[in-house]
Amino acid sequence: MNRVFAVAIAFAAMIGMAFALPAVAGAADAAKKGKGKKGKTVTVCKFGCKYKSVQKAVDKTGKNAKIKIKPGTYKEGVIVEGKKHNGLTIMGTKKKKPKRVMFNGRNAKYEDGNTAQNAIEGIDVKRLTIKNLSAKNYVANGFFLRDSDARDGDKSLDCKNYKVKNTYTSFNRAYNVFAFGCVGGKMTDSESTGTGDSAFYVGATPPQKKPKMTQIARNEAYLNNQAFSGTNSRYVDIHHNDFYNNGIGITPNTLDSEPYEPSGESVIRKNNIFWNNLNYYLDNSPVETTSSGLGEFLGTTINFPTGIGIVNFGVNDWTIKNNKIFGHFKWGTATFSDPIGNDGDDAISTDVRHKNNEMGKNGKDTNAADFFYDGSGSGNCWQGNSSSSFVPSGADNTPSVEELYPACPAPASAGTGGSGGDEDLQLVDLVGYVLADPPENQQCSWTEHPHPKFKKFKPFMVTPGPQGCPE
Amino acid sequence: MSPRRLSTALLAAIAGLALAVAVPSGVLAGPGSGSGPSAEVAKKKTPKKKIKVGDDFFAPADTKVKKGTKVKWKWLDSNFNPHNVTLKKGPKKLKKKQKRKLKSGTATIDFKFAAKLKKPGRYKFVCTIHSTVMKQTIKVKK
Repeated sequence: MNRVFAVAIAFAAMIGMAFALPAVAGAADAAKKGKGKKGKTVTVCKFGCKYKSVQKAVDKTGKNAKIKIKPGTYKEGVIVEGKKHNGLTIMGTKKKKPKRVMFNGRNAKYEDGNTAQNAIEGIDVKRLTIKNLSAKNYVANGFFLRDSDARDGDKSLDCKNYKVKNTYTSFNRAYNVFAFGCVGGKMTDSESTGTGDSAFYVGATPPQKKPKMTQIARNEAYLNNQAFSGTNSRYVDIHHNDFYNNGIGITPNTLDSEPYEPSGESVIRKNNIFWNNLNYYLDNSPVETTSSGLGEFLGTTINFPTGIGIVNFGVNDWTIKNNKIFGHFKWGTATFSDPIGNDGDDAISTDVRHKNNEMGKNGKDTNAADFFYDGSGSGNCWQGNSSSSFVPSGADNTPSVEELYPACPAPASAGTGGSGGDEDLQLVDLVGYVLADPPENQQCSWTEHPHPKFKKFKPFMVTPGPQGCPE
Repeated sequence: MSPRRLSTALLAAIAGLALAVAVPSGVLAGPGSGSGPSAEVAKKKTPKKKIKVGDDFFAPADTKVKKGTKVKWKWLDSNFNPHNVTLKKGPKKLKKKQKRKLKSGTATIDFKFAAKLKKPGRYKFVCTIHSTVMKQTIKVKK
C-alpha cells in the first residue's frame, strides 16, 4: 500500500467515523428511551400460527413489538399493562377491511372468569398503536387507553401518544374508543356506531406546560348517544370528521367526579356535524343510553339533551370554527354552565368562541335555532357564522340578542360571569328541555323537516316519535 | 394402608402443602378463590363482607370487619362508568406484595373482586377513575 493511499483510507475512515458516531449515539439514546429498538413481530390467527390468542402474544412480547392478527373473530379481552409494552402495535393484517379482524365481546371472559370488559385495554403504556381492527359487543368499551393513576398532582403521565387508526367499533355498551388521563394521542380514520355514551371519548387530560394536542380526525360516527364527548378533556383538536344521526354531535363537559377540571383549550374545526336528532329515549331506538344524565335537580334526573350539534357544558377556552353544522331539530350549538352541584364552580362556560361556521346549510337544512346560550360565564362569543339564528332573549328583550351573543372578542360586560345563566327565557327553555318527563318528550319541542341529500349519508329518525306530547 | 391409599394420601399431603405455600399469609385476592370440600369447610368459617361498586360510589363506603374477613366487591348491573378498587393506603405491616394484590381490574358491569384482609388496621381504597368521589375505608379489627 503506498502512503498516499493509506492516508486517503485513514482520512475516509475518520470522515466515516465522524458521520457514524452521532448516528450510533442517536441510536443509543433512542434505545435507552425504548423508542428505537425494534421489537419482536408475531402473528396471531385461529389456525396454524404460534399464537391463537392476542393476550398470549402480548404476554410473550416486549417493547416496540408488533402483533399482527389475521382475519377471524377473537373472543377475548386483551389487557396490555405497563411500560414493558411501550411502543406495542396491535394490528389487523387487512388494512382495507378492518371488519375482517373482529374482537367480539359476547361471552368473552378474562382468564380469572370475569366478563371481558374491553377488546383491548392499555394501562400505562406509551405509544400503543391499535389499527386495522374491529371491536363489538363489549360490556364496557371497544378500545380503552388509560393512566392507572390519573389524579391532580400526578406527574408520571404513563399513557402517552397512543394511536387508534382505521378501526370499526360498534355496540360496545359505553364507549367505543376511550382515553382517560392520557397525553397526546390520535383517534383517526375510524368508523364508530351504536354506543350508549360516546363513539370517541377523551377525558381527564393532565394539564401540560407545552400541550400535546390529541387528534380526533377523519372519523365517522353515527347512531351513538354522542359522537364525541370528554369530561375534563383538554388540548383536543377535533377536525375533518363526519358526525351525524347521533343524539348530540360533540359534547365536552366538566365534572367534579373526575380529575383535572375543567375541560378546555381545545378546537372543533372543519367538521360536518349534522342530523344529530337520535331520540334514544324512545323504545324503538337501535341504541339505549348508558348515561346517568347530567345529575339530579330536586329529585328529578337532568337528562342529556338531544337534537343538538355541539353542547358546551361548563367548559373553558374552546374554539368552534369553520364547521358545517346543520339539520338539528333543537339547536346547532348550545353553550351553558352547571349551575348546581359543581364544587368550586369549575363548570362555567368561559371563552367559548364560535367563528365562521356554516350554520343550517345556508338555509337549505336549518337548525331549529343555530345557537343557544344560557347567558352564564364570560368571554363567549359568536362571529362570522353564516345563516345565524339565535334563541332569542326574554320577553322584555333583556339582555338583547346582540348583548347575549356578542361578537369576538366578547366585551367584559357579556355574560353573568358565574355559573347561573340569564334567568329569563334561556334558562327556562333549557331546564324545561332537560327535565322533560319522560325524556323522549324532548322531541315535542323540536322543529322537524325533511333533510336534503348530503354526500353518501342517509338521515335516520326513530319512529314512531313520542306519543304523549302535551297539547 | 394399601400402596394406592398411600399414594392418595401422599398426593393429598403434597396438594395441601402446595396450597399452604401458594396462599399469601396477609391477603387472598381474586375473583374465585377457594374450591373443593376442604375450601367449603373453610368458607363456612371465614367471615364475609359484600360491597357494592356503583356509579360513582362504594356501598358501604366505610365499614368495620373482623381480621380474616373475605371482602367481596360486586359491580352493579346499573353502572354506566368504569370503576376499580385500588388500595391507596394500608396497615403499616402490610407487605408490598400484598398491597399489589389489593387492586382489581377496571370494569363497568358483570365483575367481581375478592380479597381476604388478614392484617388489622385501616385499608383505604379508591376508584382511580373517580378518585375524588369514590373513596372507601375498611377498618380491620383484631
